[in-house]
Amino acid sequence: MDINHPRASINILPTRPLYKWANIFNRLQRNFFSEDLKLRREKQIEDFIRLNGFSRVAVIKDTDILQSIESLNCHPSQAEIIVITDQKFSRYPCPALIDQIKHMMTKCSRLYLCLNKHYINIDNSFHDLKLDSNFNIAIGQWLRKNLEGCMVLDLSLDFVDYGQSFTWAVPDRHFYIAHD
Amino acid sequence: MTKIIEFFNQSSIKDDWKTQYIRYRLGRLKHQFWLWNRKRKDNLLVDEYDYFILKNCQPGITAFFASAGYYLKDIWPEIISIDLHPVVKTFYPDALICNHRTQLPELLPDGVDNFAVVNNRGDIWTEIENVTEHCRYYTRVMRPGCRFFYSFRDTQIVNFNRLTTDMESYFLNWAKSLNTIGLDLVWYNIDFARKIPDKNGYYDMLENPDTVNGNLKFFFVYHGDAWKVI
Repeated sequence: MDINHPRASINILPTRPLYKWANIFNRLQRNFFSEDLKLRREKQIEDFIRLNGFSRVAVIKDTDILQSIESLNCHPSQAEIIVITDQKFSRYPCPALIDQIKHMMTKCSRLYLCLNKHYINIDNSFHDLKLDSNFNIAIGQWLRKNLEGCMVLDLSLDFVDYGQSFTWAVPDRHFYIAHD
Repeated sequence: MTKIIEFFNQSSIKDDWKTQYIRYRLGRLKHQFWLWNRKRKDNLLVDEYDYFILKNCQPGITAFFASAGYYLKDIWPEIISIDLHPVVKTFYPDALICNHRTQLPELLPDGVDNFAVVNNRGDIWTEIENVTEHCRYYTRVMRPGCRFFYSFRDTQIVNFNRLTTDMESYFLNWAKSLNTIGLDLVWYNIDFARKIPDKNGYYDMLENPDTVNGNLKFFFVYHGDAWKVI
């Protein structure tokens, strides 16, 4: 082929982000299906809130989920629990992510944290060879190791995510973190 | 009654055109260029990485596989655009459709001199070993000396431990290992975010660079000599 002979004049565009559906991604994905669906992970969070009687909840999210607990929403400093599903939270470098969790825990002593495992250690700056070879187990170990004085309960499923599990609506790793 | 699901395969996906198109569209960001260009007569837009690939193509047959190559074909008609998704044929009749990579030799019986796969969603969401198998299929249509342009994202390679693995080495070693299937690495760019807090201590919350083309970019030559990348 001859790049010097395009059929029209061209304009080389610097590569830019083209993804633009983050705010409505859950709805878009669920519309693929004919049945009336609920994501198991979303229900897990909502039921955790309801069954444990939380009435003031700070929800930090980036897409259209968890509508059923919207009425409980309040400022983090007034909340009984903070729920984080925002994908961006998983994109902190590992040490900064730990700092952010600690910061949240100064506002509220209970945290329901959802992390997208595909973003963990996004900048490849952190390595701990003492962690388990199973990545799912390693994430929990890493959190416990760095959150002294906190109880970290892993509420996730142990599975390999082959892109079939709605992780960009609700992240896959779920942790309940509370002060000891 | 509302059904509770964890995985896509626990319910049926609608087969109407709109659903299939949206599914395709959500995962193929480069399609945006075709949408932009179809409204233009001149000054057609080309992504800079695609242009970088084209500058490094050699004379001969050039194919883009599952990479929205049809938008480039509108500018350089000699490009062959192949896709895995039948829905592409509905808006771009000149695209070649193959159901599986094994069909490539039927579609390209003469082989190709340049073969590009740019962040093909159909190649990822699997273990890196399976990406090697995809590349092995691609080599079946490569003439000796064929230039192979391959890119993807680290976040969509699965089943490895991101906390215990130096990912730069991991992906570079993978690229070098393709010499076992005749692909010698000529050039690469492995681009992980450099997350440094600003003066107020805030980090950018962006994904790794280039979600469109992939942050892991490799050029190979198939049973031939390296070229000077320009």
